Amino acid sequence: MSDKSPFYFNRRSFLGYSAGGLGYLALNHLLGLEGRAETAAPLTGFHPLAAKPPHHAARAKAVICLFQHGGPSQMDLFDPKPELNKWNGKDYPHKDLEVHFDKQAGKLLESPYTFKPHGQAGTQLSELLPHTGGIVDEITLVRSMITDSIDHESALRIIHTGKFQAGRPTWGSWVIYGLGTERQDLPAYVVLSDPAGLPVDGGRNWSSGWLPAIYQGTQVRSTGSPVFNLKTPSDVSEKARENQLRFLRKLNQAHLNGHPENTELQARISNYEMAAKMQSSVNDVLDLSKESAETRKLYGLDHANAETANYAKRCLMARRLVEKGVRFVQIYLSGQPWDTHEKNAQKLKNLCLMTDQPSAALVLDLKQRGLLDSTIVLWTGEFGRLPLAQGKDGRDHNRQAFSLWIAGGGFKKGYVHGATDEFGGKSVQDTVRVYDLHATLLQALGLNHTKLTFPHEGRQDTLTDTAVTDAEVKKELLA
Amino acid sequence: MNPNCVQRTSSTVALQSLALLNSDFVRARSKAFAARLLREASSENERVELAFRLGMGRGPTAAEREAATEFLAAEPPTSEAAGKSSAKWNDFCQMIFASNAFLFVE
Repeated sequence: MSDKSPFYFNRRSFLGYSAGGLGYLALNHLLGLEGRAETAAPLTGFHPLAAKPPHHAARAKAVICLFQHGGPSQMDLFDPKPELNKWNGKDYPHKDLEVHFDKQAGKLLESPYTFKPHGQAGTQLSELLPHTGGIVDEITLVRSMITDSIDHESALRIIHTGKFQAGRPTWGSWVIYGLGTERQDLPAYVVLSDPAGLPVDGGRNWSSGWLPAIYQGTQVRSTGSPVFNLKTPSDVSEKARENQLRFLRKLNQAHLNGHPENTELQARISNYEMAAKMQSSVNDVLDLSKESAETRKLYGLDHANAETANYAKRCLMARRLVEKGVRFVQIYLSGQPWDTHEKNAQKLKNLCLMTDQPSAALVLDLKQRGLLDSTIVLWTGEFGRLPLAQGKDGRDHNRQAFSLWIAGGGFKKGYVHGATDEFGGKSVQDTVRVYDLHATLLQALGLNHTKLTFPHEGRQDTLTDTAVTDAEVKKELLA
Repeated sequence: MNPNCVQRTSSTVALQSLALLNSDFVRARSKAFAARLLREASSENERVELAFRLGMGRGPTAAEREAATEFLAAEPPTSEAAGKSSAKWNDFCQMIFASNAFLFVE
């Protein structure tokens, strides 16, 4: 990765220039080998989104993150605790839990849901997750996650940007900065937000922070026009638009001849070409009408529960985007639904009804299309919940333990990593910090987390900032 | 959030390009700009000259003038243009706004 700002006349811009683009030829060749970009001409070498070679052989080329805002309850979903059932209604015997609403902390609270083993791996999952049960042989389930904050916003920033401080780039932005994109006519980093509303912390969840803004996530909507301003104005005919773009290219070329060293100008020229192509390709890639009845059924696209159907739609959109070469897709829920401070059991039931089937379907669908090996599917929230009752029937935030799962992209299959204590409140064995997770995810994508740097405030900053965090790749998670 | 002066790079995204190409706002501003050119200058040459003086703070270079002449000659008639010549100037002015010379201060 070049430490120089893309503003300078560097190797990349030189390649973009010389002989109509040696870089272009090299890239064309690369893409030919990848076999993904069947229609789009690649971005030329100088563009900041041009595909770049990874640091080392990559297992994964793309990421789909199914983000579960609010803090899913691990001991009701992924981490069975028979001991908690025995102690139900009794005082917690230790004094080592960090409680968010300490005045409301109650007795130990058992899970009302039963667990059973699934797959050849025999992984125990809650009865609320029958479909996830069907994919346990494809996933790595981590039961020993920990994070640094018990507060939603700071924990969200940690899992998205590596630190609790505001204003840092999200890991999706780092991935696009590191690898670029194979498609010039689709956004590299797509955010599929919930039509019911934005998640907590809104656009900060996909901000590029102090990385160049071109690496930020692009919100694509699942209802109505997917992207704003996607249609050519009604009083501009197709021929008039072609004429306009030709004129614009000439104006910009004349201007560029006076500023050959400025790569931003070139990037902006390509953006117009990209925008014009996006007008048709975005609608094409998101047109679900060509999907078969089996696929619709697999995801639950016509599910009686409208929330399930909508989440299913976005999971299917994610698959279509990755299939067409989009690098990074984030799916969000409105608000922070997993934040079950009250009516924990009932809320979890509804949330699993919404997310279980489509999430598992995405993994199965990617697998049957041969895309799972090269795509990381990450299911996670920002933290977990306490084994104690909050008030009558809720559970409070917990940063000392949470569970997540990862499918595909070079991660182990049918593997359970780490463990919590007897009540599920603290990760005690093979703990994984969020920094380690980030380092490991980048590793699978072919990126060395210590080498993916950007100059910021007088130093080469990184996603994981090992000088502060000691982040390490958890090799045990990788196949 | 960052109090120091970090160099900003490549701060354009495709969505900004889409807004300049397709948004109602930019289209409305282009029409207002075109109306001014039609009002304040009478020949094609004078309008091109005025557009660059207002948009870029300088007259067009030879290459820019050539591109403009070529654009205006090629601009196809539209239904809106029936009976009036404003449509091609709307399209022309929109590209002045979209151009790098308009965005970047020399």
